[in-house]
Amino acid sequence: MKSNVELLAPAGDLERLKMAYLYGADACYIGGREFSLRANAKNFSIEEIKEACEFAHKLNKKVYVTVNIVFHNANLEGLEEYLKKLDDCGIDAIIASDVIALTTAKKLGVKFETHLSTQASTLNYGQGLYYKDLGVTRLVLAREASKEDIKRIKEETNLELECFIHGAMCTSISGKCILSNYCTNRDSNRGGCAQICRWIFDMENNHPYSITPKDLNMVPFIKEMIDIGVNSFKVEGRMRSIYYIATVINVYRRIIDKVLSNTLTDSDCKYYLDILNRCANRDSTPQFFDKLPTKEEQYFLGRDEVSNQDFLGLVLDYDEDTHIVTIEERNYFKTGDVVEFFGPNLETYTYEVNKIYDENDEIIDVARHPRMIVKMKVDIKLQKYDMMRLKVFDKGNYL
Amino acid sequence: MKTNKLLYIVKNINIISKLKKVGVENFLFPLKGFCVGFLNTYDLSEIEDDSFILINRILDNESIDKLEELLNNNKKKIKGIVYDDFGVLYVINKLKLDVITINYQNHFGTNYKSINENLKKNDSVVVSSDITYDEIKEITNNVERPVCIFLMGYLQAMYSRRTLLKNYYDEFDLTYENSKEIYESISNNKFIMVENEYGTVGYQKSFYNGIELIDLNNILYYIINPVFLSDDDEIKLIEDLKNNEFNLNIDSDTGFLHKSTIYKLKEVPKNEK
Repeated sequence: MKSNVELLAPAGDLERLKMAYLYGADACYIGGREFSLRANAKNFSIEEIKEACEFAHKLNKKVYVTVNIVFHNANLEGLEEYLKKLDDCGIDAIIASDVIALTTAKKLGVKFETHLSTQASTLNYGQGLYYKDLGVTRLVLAREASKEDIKRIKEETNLELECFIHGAMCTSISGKCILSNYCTNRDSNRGGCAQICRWIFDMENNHPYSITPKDLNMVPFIKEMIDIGVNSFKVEGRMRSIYYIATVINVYRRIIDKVLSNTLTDSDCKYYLDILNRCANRDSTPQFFDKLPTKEEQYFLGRDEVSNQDFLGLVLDYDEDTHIVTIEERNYFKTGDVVEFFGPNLETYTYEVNKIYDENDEIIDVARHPRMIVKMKVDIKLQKYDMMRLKVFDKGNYL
Repeated sequence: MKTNKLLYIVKNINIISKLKKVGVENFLFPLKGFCVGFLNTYDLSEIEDDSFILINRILDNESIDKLEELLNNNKKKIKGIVYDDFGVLYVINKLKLDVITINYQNHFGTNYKSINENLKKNDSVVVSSDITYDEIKEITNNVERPVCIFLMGYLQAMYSRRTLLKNYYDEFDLTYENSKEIYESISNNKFIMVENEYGTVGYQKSFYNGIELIDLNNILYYIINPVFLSDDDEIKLIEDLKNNEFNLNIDSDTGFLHKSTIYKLKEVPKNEK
C-alpha cells in the first residue's frame, strides 16, 4: 500500500486473486464457501484461503474474507469454528454486516480485523461510532455516500474508510432489497440475489419500467477521495473474468499512482474511462459522490449489453533471445489485426499481427480456438501474464 | 388478541380517535423528514403525547444533526423510538433521552443471537418478516427480552435512495404520480412504489397476514402497517383481530412464513468445503 491508499480488488478464485495482485491490487477480498454473499459462486475453500494468504503476504499484500450474509438461526452453526479457521489461515480481516459475525470475532480474540460491510448501509458517523464500539476498524460505506458524508465520517470516527470506486450498482441501498426473495425465492441477503432490479417491470398502463442503474466509476474523483481520507478504493465484481480484473485494476492502479505523483491529466482520465466502459460493456458514471443520481444515471429501455471479444490472449512466455511470445488464445484474431499488449509493467504496446505460429511452429493465418497456444514475434520484451487485446482506443488521440 | 399489544403505524391522523375506540393504544408516527415509504408523515408537533415515532430512513450526517436538534428541542413526551439506522441510537444516547428504543433494522433480525446482541443496547428489536414461522418461533423462544413482530400490513421489498418514479416520469416526459403499482410478469409479483425526496420504497402489494404469530412468547409489541388500507378497513382489521380473526376482502398472503428462501442453489459437497 502506498501512502495509506489501498486498491482493493475482487477475486472469485485463486487465478483471479493472483492476477489482481499482479496488476496492482494492494489487497483482495474473497468469499469462503460459508457465510458469504455470492453464495452460488465457486468461492474459496479453507485450503485455498490459506494459499491466498501465503501468496499475498509474500508480496506484502492483504486478504479480506467476506462473512457477509445476514444469518438465519440455522446458519449460526459453525460460525465460531469457521472464524477460527480463517484466523489460522492468516487472513487480514473479515468483512461482515451481521452483528453476530462481528461480536463472535471479538469474543474469540482473533488476530484479524473486522470491517463493516456495505450491507450495513453506513452513511453517518453515528452509526460508524456504534460499530467502532463493537470492534470494527474499517467501514465499507454505503455506495450512496456523498463527498460530505465521507469527509465527516472520517473526521468523527477516525476509522479506516473503504469506498466502492468501480463496478455494478444496486438500485437499492445494499441490504435493503429483497425483491429477489419475492420474485425468485432466492435470499438476496444470503447471497442469492437474482438482480431483479435489472429486470423489466410493467407500469399500470403496460408501459415497460426499468429501475436499473448504470455502473459506477469514480475516475474523476479519485484525487478528492484521497484528499478527504478514503483509505481503500474498492472494485466490485467477484464473479468477473481475469481480463476484467486485470483491466480495471491496471487502470485504477495507474490513476492512483498518477494522483499520488501529481501527474494525472484530463486526457489520461478520458482514455481510462473509455477503456473501463469498453471492458464492462456498460456505461459507468459517478453516482452519489457529487450529487443525487437522476435519470441520467439510470437505464430505462433498450440497454445494449453485447459482450465484446476484445480479450485476445494471455502471455504465457517470452523468449528474450528469439523475441517469440507464447500466447494462450482467448478470442479470434488473425494476421493483419491491430492489437495491443498491456500488463502490470506495460501500459500499452501496439502491434500489427504479422505471422502467427501454432504449437508446432507451423504458420497459421487465424487463431480461432479458445485456449489454443500460438506464438508470434514481438520486438519488445513481454512478461508472463501480460494480455493482448483488440486495439480500440489510441492513447495518442487523447492528447 | 389484546389490542394493547399493537404498535400501530399511523396512516391517517384523522382516524386515531376511531382506532382508540376499537382498542388501539400505541401509535407509531412516521416522523416527517426521517421516513421513506409513507404517503403521510408527521411533525413532532402533530403527534400525541406518549406515542412512538418511526425513523426508517438510512440517515446521512446532515440528517443526524437535524435529528439531534429536533429531539433536543422537543417538548412532546415521546414514549419510544423505532429506528433502522444506528445513528439514531447514537443521538438518543447522546441526548440521554428517556425513551423505549426499538431497533428495526429492516431485513436484519433474522436470528436470535444477533437479536440478543442488539438487545444489549436496545429495549427491543423487531424480528424480520423475511423468515419462516418456525424461524420466528425459534427466535422468540431464545431471546433474552421481549421482541417486536411485524403482524400485519404492507412490507417493504426494496428501499432505494434514488427517486425511481421521478426519474421515470422525467425520462418519458409523463405527468408525475406517486404511489404507483408495477408488475413483474415472470414471477407474477406486484409492487407499489412510494417515493419522497429521500428515496423510493417498493412494497409487496399483497397484504401480509401474520395472524398465526399472535400466540408466540416474548412479544413486546405487534406492529401493523396499514399504509394502503382504506380507513374503514383499518377499523375492521382491529375489530377482527380482537377475535383473533382476519377477514379483510383484499389480496393477502403469509409472506415467507411457510416459504423458506433459498440460501444456496446447489450445496457444495462437504469434502470440498
